[in-house]
Order: sequence, then C-alpha cells, then structure tokens
Amino acid sequence: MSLVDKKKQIFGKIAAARTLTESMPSFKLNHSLPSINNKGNSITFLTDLIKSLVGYAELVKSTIDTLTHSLDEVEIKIKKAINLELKSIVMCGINPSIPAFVKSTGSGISIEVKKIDFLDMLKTDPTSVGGKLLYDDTAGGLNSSDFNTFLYNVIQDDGNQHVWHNILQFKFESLDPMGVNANSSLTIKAHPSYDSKTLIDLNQDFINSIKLFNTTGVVNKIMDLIYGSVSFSLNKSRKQLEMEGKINAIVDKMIEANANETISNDYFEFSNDEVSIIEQKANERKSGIIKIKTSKEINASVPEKLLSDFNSEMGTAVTVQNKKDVLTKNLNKMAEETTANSNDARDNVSIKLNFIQGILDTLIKGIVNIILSPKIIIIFLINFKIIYGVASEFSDPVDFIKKNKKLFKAIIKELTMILVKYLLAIALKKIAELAAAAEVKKQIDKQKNKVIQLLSLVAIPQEVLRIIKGLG
Amino acid sequence: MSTFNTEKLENQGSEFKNQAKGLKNKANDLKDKAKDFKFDLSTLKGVLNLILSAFSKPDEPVAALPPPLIMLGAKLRPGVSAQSVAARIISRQSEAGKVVGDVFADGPNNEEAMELIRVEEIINTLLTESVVNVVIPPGIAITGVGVGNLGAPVIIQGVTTSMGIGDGIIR
Repeated sequence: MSLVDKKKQIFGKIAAARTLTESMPSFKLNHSLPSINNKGNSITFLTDLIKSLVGYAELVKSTIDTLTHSLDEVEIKIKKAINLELKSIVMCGINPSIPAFVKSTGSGISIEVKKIDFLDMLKTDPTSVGGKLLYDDTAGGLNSSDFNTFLYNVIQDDGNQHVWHNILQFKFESLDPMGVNANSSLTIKAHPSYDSKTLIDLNQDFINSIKLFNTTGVVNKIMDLIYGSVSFSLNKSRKQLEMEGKINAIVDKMIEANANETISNDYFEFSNDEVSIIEQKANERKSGIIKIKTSKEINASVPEKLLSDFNSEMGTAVTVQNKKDVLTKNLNKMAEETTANSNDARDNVSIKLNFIQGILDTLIKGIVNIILSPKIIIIFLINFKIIYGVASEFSDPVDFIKKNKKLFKAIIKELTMILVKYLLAIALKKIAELAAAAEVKKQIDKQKNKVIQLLSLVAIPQEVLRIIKGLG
Repeated sequence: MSTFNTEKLENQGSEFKNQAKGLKNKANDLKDKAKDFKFDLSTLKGVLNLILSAFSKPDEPVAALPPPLIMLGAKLRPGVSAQSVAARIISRQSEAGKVVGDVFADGPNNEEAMELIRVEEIINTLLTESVVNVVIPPGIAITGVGVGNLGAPVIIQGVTTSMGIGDGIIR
C-alpha cells in the first residue's frame, strides 16, 4: 500500500471512530491537511494527525511542551554529533596534535569574516532591536555567554586580541598591516593552556563551551523562517533569503530521506519548480507578509514587535512554569495576529491551528539554521584549514552542508526521531482514547442490538424497539 | 547384498540438523528484522504502521440467539418496507444538520427524493435478488420412529453426521 493510501486509511479510521463517539470534538474545520501525499515527511503527517485529533488549546500545549522539554535533549545530541564529525575530520590528518602555527606562539589561522558569516549575522548589532532576536546574552559584550555576541564584539575592537573561555584567542583586523591576510579577517590561535593538548581536546572543549540554542532563539528563528518577522525589519537581501530557502529545501529533502539513503549531489541541486518556490518564499519573507489560503486568500504576519515583547518577557521568566506561561500567552497573541485580516470565524480557527502546526513543522529547519551561524562554522573551518590546508574554505552554507553532509544527515535524523517520538506519544494517546471510546460505543451497540432482536421476536412494537436502540 | 553405512548416515543426519538449525536462526533474524522495520520510527512507513496498529482490535464473534425464539418470533415480523425505512431516515435528517422538508427559496427538497430512491433500490435488491444460505452443522441430536421386525414401532436416537444446507430469502 502506498504512503498516501496508508495516510488516508488512518484519517478514515479517525473519522469513523469520531462518528461513533459523540463526545469527541467534531472534525469540521475547513483547513487542509498538507501531508496527504506520497512524501515521507513524518513530522508534517504527525502534526496533521494531531491537528485533526485535538483542538487548538491542546495543540498549543503540546507545542509548548515540545519547545520547553525537548530542546535540552536536542542540544546534547547535536553536540555529540558535531564532536563525532570533528573527530572524524581530525582522524583524516596524520597528526592529531595542534599544529605549531595554531598554537599560542604561532602566527594563527586567518579566516575572513564573510567565510564564517554566510547569512550576514555579524553585520547586525546584538543590542539593536533586530539584533536582540538573533543573538543571546546581548548585554554581555566581550564577556557574553553567547559566542556570536562575543565574536561581534571582537570585530568591533579592531586589532585587539580576546580570549574565549581560555580555549581560543581571536583578533580582528579590518586591514592587515603586513598585507598577508585578507581585509576584515580574524586571526585565531589556541590559548596557551592548549599548546600541549590535542586538536580533539580543543574541539570538544570549544563545542561544550557554547550554548547552541534556547527556546526564545528557536521561536524567533521559526517565526522569521515562516513570516519573515526579523528579515523584514533587518531588510535582509533577496539573495540572503534565497540562500536560506535553499538550506530549508535541503533540510526538507533530508527529512524525507530514508535512514539508509546516501545523500547524493541531487540534494544540493534544485529543479526549476524548487527554485520558483524558493524565490516566492524569499519575496514573502522580504515583505514580512505571507499569503494564507483558507476560504479565501489573506495576508498574515507576525510583526517583530510581538517577538521583541515575547523575548523581554522570557528574559524575566525564571521557572519552567513561568516560561511555559509566557510561551502560551505570546504564541496565542501571535496566532491571533495571523488572523487579523480574516473575518470568517471558522477560517480563524483553521489559521490559528496552522500557525501552531507551522511551528512544529519548521522546528528542525529553525534548529539547522541556528547551527549554520558563525559559532559552529568557525570551528569546522579551523579544522578544515588545519587538516586540508589553509586555503580550504566553504563557498556558502550549501557548500558547508555538502562538505559535512554526514553530520547534517545525522543531526536531522536525530532531530526527526526526537520530534517523531514526542509527537507520536501525543497522537497515540489521543488515538487510544478515541479507539477506546469507539470500542465501548460498539459493545453497547452490539448489546442493544441483541436485546432489540430478542424483543422483536416476541412481537414488541417497532416504536418501543427504536426507543431502546436510541433512534430518534 | 547392500549394507548400510550407519556412520555416514548419522553424519549426514547431524549435518542436516545443523543446516536446519542455521536456517531456523536465519528465519528468526529475518523475522526480527521485519518486525523492526514494521515499526521503524525513522521511516514514515514505520510510523504509519504503528498508528494503524493502534486501531486494530479483533472483534469477538457474536453469540447466537435462542433458536426456539427465532422459530416462533420470525413469524411475527412485519417484513421490510422501503417506504418506512426512507421515512425514518428523512425524519431524522435534522440530527445530521440537514434541512427537512422543502426550502422555500430552493424549491423541492431533492436530497429527500434521492434518499427515497436510494433506500428503494437497496431494499428492492435485498428483496428480489438476495439469497440467504443456511448451514446446519453436524451433531444435531435426533429422535426418530421406525418399524421393527414384527411391525412394532422402534424409536431410534442419534446425531446427524453431515451438515444440512438450506436456502432462504429476505422478506
């Protein structure tokens, strides 16, 4: 049986069980189910399924639980995958120790800023309104716990060396006085305490010293990827947005790939149709407005102001419950905002459900986009330059994914598994409730049938039998 | 006269035994692999199989009604009528949110007319084309009366040894 037939069979069974059980919420919403096709994306299917099983409030709750509880597990697994990949790169070299030129006494590795900042993040001030949505711990400056914020401040302090967690030393020079390195380059050396250690130690300690993401950053990124909330206010170029679109298309292909499938070059090439979709999405994000198809087509947006308010409130939330409350309040506000141009109450429910579904569907892309920031690319580029020669570099983020495709496949599969397990648990719980309720109803119906059949054999009038059966 | 080489046969026997054991292990491995693949959560197919399995629950067979009651009660049944079935469906249409009766602006209610046609056709087919096959299993206790050697009546008791077959129609 094809995937689409199996999907339809499941929705058919839900519809049948729902018809039997009157107490369940009726499935009368006029939203579409985008997963009903032959594509192998488990997440979209599960979010469609959950959307049809539970109401809006429950879907919000499930999404908030996912955002609050699963991200720590995700960070641990991604760091483990990155460490493994870096180790395998180092093992390609003859000597796993840190080469003399990278040691604190050496000349250091020179890296152009643009070669680690493909999406122009470091051009935005972390303390600006838009910057606060891109970086973390923005007030920390050179002492920030966020490596990207630290790096931005290193770049602002032209010609001076700064140390990250006693692991690596960074110096930015807008112009190399010796004329050896390219302009706007970083010179990177190991901290003296690493002179006698291996490259594997340095990699591992660096990865463990950085925080990959938090709930706020992930929500900001997801809203930007769907609605262009940050891209619009930062006036990102169409080229930048198309590049992000290509990254997302690759991630989609990897999510749909089987675990045993080899990532071929096809994953990094785009058909005319794919290019057209990427361009259309880039245009929408640039304008900060997307088109939503309901009973009619409407414009929807999540303005940057809503994200800024959400970030400020999250900054003051201490306990997990506080954070959940802030998330619930703000996601509801954003969902409400997306219905601003709709007048149909039934469409509004559908739009809000799709808003929440979009968060779950875009979660993996959001995380991959965050990984493609300077804090991860820099350590890979350092390793590539040490192992394959100082001229080695990544031409763009697609090239970065291509050259580390094993890592991205592993990360995406790991993320998919975590999310699938989480969503499946929610779906199966609801299906079990629905199936149990339908079974009870069926058994009662069978008993009633037996009683009325027996009574019909002793000439009890049809009217009485209908009352017993509960027929109107 | 041919002689049996028992040692050779024994060796062959144990070889076959080992081969069978190996095949059994292989089959078990494949079974496990198939089982794993069926619910492999890294593929959408595995996820779909798992969800479908949540719906599958075998139904218990229905208990038979008392035969004497059916024998007597069947004679009291009024028989089916397309008109009364359609009438009941139409009178309950409002439960499903459908309009009952004619809608002033839209003219006659076509849906109700369609309902009547549908039920008439179904009932007509059941009444005129359907067949009910009945199978009576063997082992039914019987008591019969026969004639003995001197013409005296002889009562016999036993069970049927073959199944009985009958046809019926729906009324």
